[in-house]
Amino acid sequence: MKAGKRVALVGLLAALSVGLGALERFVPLGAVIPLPGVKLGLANLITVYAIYRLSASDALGVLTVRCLVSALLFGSPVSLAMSLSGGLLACIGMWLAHKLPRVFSVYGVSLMGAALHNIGQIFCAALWLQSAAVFAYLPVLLLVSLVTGALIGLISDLLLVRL
Amino acid sequence: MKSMTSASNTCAEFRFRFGDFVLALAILLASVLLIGLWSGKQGTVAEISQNGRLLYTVDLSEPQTLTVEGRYHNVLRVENGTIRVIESDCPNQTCVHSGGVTAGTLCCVPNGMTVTVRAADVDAVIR
Repeated sequence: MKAGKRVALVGLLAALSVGLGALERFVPLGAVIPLPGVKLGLANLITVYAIYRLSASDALGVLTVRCLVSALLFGSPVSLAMSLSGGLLACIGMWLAHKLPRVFSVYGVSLMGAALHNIGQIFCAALWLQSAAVFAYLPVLLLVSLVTGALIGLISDLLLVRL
Repeated sequence: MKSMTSASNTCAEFRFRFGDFVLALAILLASVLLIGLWSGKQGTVAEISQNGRLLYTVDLSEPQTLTVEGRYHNVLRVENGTIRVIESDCPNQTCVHSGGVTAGTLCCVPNGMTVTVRAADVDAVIR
């Protein structure tokens, strides 16, 4: 792929990612599951797509740009740190999972992403707050990640077949 | 972009793999385990009352010594998550012989003192 095309594509995917992240704020998942940081993770859709269709560095690029822009637009330095910890861990895990297509399908990759994203964020929160108490949220977040991971996996599956 | 006609790393719809289920199970087990571990580590507190009036609420995770003065003098010691009466000048000494409790109650009837151990109702305070 030519360099220019690559830049444009990564930029496009990153922008989409930011957009999806903003869009999912309209879904009040927090009303159903009253935990901080519980999200559908629609932006992960793009990350999964990038992992399957682009190189590792490009996928990582999409994720990093998404985290940076999202934090700049909607968040704070703290949210950036949390976003990156969750995102980077998830990206690495998802990449590894996708490298084993006979073990994990896109559903597994997506689940991996959802779970690792939450784990990464909780670890970051624990470090930031200097408190192990936040780990109390982890069990429920993990259970939620089972559902959201499967959902994003489904959409990714449908997406990857067509695109 | 990889060729769109290449289907080598596209999953056909709804084709699951063994690893997916293992992972899902692992996440499920991890969350259950964490719930189990966490509720065990929850702080327990002892409420020390005298004649129905709450005197102290003590966190059992920190070693400390307390005194309850009344008709008689009770010295309570908190250690290793248990609370016990180490010294008392009451006539029957039942309280001293009761040993340590990690749950339930302990009392010195002559001194009107009761100790009730229960789970803490605050997980953590995040500032």
